[in-house]
Amino acid sequence: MRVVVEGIDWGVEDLTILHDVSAEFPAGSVTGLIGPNGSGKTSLLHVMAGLRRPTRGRVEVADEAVHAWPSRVRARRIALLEQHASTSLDLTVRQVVELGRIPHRGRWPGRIDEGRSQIEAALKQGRVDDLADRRWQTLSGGERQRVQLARALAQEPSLLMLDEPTNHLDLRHQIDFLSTVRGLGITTIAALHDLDLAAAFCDRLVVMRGGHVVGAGSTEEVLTSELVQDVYGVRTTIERHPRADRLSVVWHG
Amino acid sequence: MHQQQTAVVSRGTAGTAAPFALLTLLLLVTMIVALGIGSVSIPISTVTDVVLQRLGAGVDASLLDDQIVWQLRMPRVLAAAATGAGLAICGAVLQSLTRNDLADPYLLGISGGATAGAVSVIVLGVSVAGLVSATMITLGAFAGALLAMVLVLALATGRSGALPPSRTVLAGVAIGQICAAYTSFVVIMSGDHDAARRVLSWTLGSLAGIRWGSSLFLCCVAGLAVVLIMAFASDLDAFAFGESSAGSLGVSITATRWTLLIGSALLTASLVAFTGAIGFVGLVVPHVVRLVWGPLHRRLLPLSALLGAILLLWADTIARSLVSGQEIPIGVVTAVIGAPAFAWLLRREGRDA
Repeated sequence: MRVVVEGIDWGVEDLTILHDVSAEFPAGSVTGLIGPNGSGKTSLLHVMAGLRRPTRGRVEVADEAVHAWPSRVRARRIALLEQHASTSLDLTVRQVVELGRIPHRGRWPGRIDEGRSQIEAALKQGRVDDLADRRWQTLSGGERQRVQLARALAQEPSLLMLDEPTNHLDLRHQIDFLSTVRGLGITTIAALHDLDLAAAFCDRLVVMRGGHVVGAGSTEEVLTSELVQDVYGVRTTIERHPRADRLSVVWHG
Repeated sequence: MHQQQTAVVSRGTAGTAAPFALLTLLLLVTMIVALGIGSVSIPISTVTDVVLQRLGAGVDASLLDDQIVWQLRMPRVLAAAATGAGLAICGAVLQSLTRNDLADPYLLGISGGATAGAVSVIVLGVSVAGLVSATMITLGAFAGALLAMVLVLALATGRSGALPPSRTVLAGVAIGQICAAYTSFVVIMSGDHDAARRVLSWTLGSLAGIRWGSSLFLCCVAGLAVVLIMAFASDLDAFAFGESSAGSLGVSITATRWTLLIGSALLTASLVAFTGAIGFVGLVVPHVVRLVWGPLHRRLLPLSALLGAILLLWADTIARSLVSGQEIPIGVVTAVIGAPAFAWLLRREGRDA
């Protein structure tokens, strides 16, 4: 589903965090949202996911205003993976994935096997079907992130929002996780810190700084050493890597 | 090796039906046994005869047995079950909603407010009219509980109308302290030893003096609460990973919080007004159910209600029959039975965590 953001302002109390943000995310694309800490990536994701109402401007998903959707309808279309998903409850992996069926269920508890086939499918797509009976508290960081992805997929979303999904993952898990996401074919918007990963897995990039969008377009166009110098204040060489056939970012002070 | 496997794989993934049937059966057995226990011991067969006769099954029971079982003990047994069920689901809801293991039904200053209300009636009533009816105390306690709830919610509400859990807990503590100070002040200033004793016994809770009218009211309130809360089972599950996660699963966070906090407060206030502040049940029962049957609410809520009913029923039976001719405060009994059982479960859990 195509996402269009038009002139959004949003803030907490008197502090404005997003300033006149506009951006477009084509249907079926994977877009990386990059920018320094505190540049408004998480806030923008939350506003686009319908969790926060912008003080000005609008978000349209598939030509409909997201903030006009009833919350359950919204949750059947948009899934959000948060930055640090944690719980103190003793849940199994299958139970965590089952949470994704909540927006599809009625108010009153129904049959116990409700949505079972979607849950199995989500476990497979997130590649955690072998962990289904494990307890969440015993999982590693990489496994937890894949379980959260499976939970999101159980919502059967047409739009996936990921907030720094590869933080705390080792290289192998970072690559595995983002390859899995790419393979889904769902329109995806992911806030990312690692520019190499962003270059490798994103069709497009949207760059933020201080609550403003300062760059948007295809990864090749956007990711330049001038931009990185400007936004992060770091000198880099960005060139196409001969063996990997993609942009690679090397910093040098 | 094998043991490690069982530690990693969680228990409690089976259906709801088996534990539900087990606890329902246990509750019915407990009720029948409790009806036979007291200063006059009545055999179980006679108890069932009385109950069957009252339910119109054409069995003959003596008038005396009927008087004891049906008129004296039955209202109290039903009230204990209803109160236990109500307190346990309130505890479960508030713990999930605030993601705080120490949350209990009295979180919103309910018990402090109810005590302050009851004390006002007891002390001022004693000094003004020389006589206080139980109904007046009940009304005073209910009014006090509601007043405290309104103050806590007003204190905790942010400018945007949101109700952050941590502020709600702290506001509850603040109002609770004010109520406690007021209560102590009034009791000390009145200098009335009888009032002081009644206040103490009120704060520890008692089901003595519950008659059919109040008992049916408590059953209706608790029954309604158990049914209505099931509509929120999924929403409460959605809070497992915090509030943004609940929001992204389609739960309206602020509306759900307001509805459930006010609902729990009204339920607790109704119970507490009749029984006094019975501690421990609302805090511990949901934890026990989570430890044994897992944290999902479509199981947690009904099983907590059943276990709460069973626990409070035993506590009340012990309270009224352990020392003949004297009532032990029920709060003392719930703590004495509940605390060791809970400690044992915690240790067992600690071994494989």
